[in-house]
Amino acid sequence: MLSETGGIREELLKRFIESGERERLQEIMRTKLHTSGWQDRVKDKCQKIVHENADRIEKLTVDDIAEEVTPFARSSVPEDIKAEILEDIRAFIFRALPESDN
Amino acid sequence: MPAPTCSACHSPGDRLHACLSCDDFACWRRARPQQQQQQQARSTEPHIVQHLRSSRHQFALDFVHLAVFCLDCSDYVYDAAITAWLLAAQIRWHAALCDSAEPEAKRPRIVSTGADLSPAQTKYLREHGAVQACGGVRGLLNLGATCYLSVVLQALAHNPLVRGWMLSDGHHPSTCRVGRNAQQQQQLKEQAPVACMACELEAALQAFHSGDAAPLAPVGLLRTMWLLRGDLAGYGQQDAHEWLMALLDTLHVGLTENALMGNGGDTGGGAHAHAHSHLHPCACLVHQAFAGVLQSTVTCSGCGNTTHAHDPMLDISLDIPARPALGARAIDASLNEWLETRTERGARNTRRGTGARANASLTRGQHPVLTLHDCLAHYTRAEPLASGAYACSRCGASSGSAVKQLCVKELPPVLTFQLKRFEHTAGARPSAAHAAKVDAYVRLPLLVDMTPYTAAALAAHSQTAAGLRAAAGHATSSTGSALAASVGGIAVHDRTGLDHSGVSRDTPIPVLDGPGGSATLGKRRTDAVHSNPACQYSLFAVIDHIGHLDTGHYTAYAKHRGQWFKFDDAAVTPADIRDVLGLADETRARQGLSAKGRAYMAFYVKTTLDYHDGAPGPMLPNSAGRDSVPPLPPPMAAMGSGNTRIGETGEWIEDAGVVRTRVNPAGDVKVERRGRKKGSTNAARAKQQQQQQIQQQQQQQKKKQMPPPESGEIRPATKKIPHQARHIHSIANDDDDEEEGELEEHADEEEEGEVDYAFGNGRNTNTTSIPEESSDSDGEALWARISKEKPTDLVPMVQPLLPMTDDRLMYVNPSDLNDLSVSSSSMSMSMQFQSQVMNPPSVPKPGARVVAFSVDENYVDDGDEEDEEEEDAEEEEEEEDDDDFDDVSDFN
Repeated sequence: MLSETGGIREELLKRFIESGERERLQEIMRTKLHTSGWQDRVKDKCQKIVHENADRIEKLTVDDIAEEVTPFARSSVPEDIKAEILEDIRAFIFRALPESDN
Repeated sequence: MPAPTCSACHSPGDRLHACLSCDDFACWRRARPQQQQQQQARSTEPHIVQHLRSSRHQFALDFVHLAVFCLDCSDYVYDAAITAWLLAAQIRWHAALCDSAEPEAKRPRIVSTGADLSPAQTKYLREHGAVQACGGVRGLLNLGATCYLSVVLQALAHNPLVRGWMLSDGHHPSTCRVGRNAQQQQQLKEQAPVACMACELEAALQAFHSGDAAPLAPVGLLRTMWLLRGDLAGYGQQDAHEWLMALLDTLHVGLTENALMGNGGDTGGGAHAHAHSHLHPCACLVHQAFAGVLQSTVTCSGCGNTTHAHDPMLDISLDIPARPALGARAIDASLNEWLETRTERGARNTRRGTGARANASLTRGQHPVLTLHDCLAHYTRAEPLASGAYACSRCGASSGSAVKQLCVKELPPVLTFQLKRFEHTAGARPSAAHAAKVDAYVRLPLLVDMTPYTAAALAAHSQTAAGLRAAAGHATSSTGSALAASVGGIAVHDRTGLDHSGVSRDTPIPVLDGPGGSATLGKRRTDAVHSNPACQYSLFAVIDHIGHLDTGHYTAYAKHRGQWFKFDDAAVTPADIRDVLGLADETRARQGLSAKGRAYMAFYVKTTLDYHDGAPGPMLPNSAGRDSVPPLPPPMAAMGSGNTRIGETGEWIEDAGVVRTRVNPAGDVKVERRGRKKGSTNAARAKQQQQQQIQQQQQQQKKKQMPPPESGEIRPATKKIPHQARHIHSIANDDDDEEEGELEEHADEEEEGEVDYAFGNGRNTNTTSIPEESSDSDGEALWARISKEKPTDLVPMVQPLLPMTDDRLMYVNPSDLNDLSVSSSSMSMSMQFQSQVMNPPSVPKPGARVVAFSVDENYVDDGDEEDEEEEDAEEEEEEEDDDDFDDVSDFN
């Protein structure tokens, strides 16, 4: 089994998505991030970025803002939310593993 | 059903876009780095951009945010027509979800679709409107320990429903028995003996939005309250919650008793005529906005007989439990141990084993923090009644035990929570009674999903839980409470010993994990109890209490136009979300340090407002619920201020309050104002209603297959409904008046009927089938408008039921509407608008000061972009988590 880690990985990913677990966890994460205020902080940062680029506002694309805000957003995710989501993912893996062991 | 995947990288999710010219899906991931040499200047392009470029298509649509991406602009663009149509589709989806979640809901959910403002109207507004100075945020002077008054008033002033209704001339001294007397007596230089709270509140709101930024002294309100409620008089510190209840009560009295009908006559009703009960809901602002119904269910343990008792409520007072009701910590602990045994066994993630343990220890040693969900779970827990206290009527076992559970039967549009922080413990003598403040920190969520606490969810859950228990053989929740299990989504199955669902305690969506774990996860998405969009609430005001019981201080946070402000008596400052929720305190609480929770009351408003139309029609008695509403003046929560349609000559007609705009196909804009003609009297209105009823009866005879309209309009749309029966927008009466007024010549074309797009209430099987020709009526109208053809059918464009996001209102001073043809008339309107709920429910009085209605316009707002950024960032966050799969995704 360890030798075909590639296939296992893809199959796990496929199962992760098809079972709806990914969506569910995304929903949970979204809610958590929102209630922890992270969303508002990122929005604030985006507004700041827009203000900074006020001179070239016409040419400012969504992508540009995304690039600038991503490092800040990623680093400011609260640790406990990260940990909880990681736990959930791990739980899913170990739940799914016995079935793919065969 | 397979999830749509990107055609290039075969991954689902990650900002999928659909090409609008072909049926291709592509995501936003960029091309692999090793392909860079083969690419041109923009080497790393998202797949969707690649597709668009290579196939020379222009547009793509983002799945999640429904934003249109244009290849040439290389950015998302906004188009009014597309956005309106997408919004309508979204509303239909919401309505479908609501109906599927609550098929027995007595309240009909009516969806109307259509554009909000025609481009010509927008043009007109831009030219003739002046941006008003920022209003709506004012401090309140402290008149001597009146901080409780300040916070309550601020909370009410920023309540979108209250503010919108009040500013839409909901209550005015000229129509108030007390107010008019006060005016008359002022002229006679006499003292006004009684006072009307509604007039005072209206005056206060007017002052708030007058544009003056200086702090306001709420003297009138204070004096009125002292006059009306002697028990609250005095200069001492009062309890904010008690004050709020008293305010709502006097407001209710003021709105019902003192309100006069349009013809100046007295309603004559005493307090008893307007009493509110859950069977006969009062139609005043207070009850329409705040009143819900609580249900108390007692289940006999012996025979399973359940009895329900219903109580109306204006708010929910929550006890603060000692520790989180959901034993998430227990779950985490057991899960961590299990994880460690698994990794120690040498499974694939051996080199991550230490990582797993290290990561798992992140959540260890952290103290659980109480959240509002814990309080709600505690409130709705199943508690066993003392034996002997309950005698079952069915099995007669009087010594048996019974289980009582509270839940919410009907959710009000505005949900108010009070955290009971004041514990009164009686002492030996009354003077020795101690009152202690419960200081525990409670985290308030910004969004609350009340689905698990509703009666419908409880009923559904008890069925499924019973089924689960039978199937799984042994399904326990950490607290043993049926509802808590669904709330926390924690169903620990010890069947195989490997089936753990480590759902965190903050999950608002009830997740029922079936036996077998992931294999049955797919079923969950179609679970009707999953999430009901009608039960989503968002926070808009918080009242904090700092300090000791009697000598504390109240402050309030409220959201104004999307920005949070802190109101500390006269000092108003912009606030960060961290302060609103008290996240600093939460961090301390997590670490086990002493943290003082300050939140005392929280106000939530529904994000998707479904409402009840007050169409006068046969009032069919119904067993429960608020189905039958007497034909009072249209309820305040009616929809929209505008109503557009295409007249017979192909010109656009739009009615908004007093203004009717016509745009003929040549593009000329003509604006008319409804005058105070005979149509505005009450007699004319009554005649209209009679005509309407006659026509409705004719209607029913004509269309036999359609069920008779119950108090909610459920009929699918047809062509022939006279426009009087149109009830989706609030100014139906105004339209009637207009017909009789100066716009008589258009009576015919209005009568030719508008097509109403009404969504079926799932309960009525006849109405779920919507006739073909109207199912896409708005889409057809859209294309008609775009292609400038005259549509063959008269198409209704009625104000859509919009998800209420921000509270952006427009204010129109009717005195300036005297002559709209003058281009320099100063209609002061604020040009920022996003969505709208309130509308003038009644005829704006001549000489009314401020009329508020809101207008929706599709404007370029960077706010939308930012939301996408968060989505993007979250998506990328998600990708990071996927990295645990040993770089399965290497497209970054």
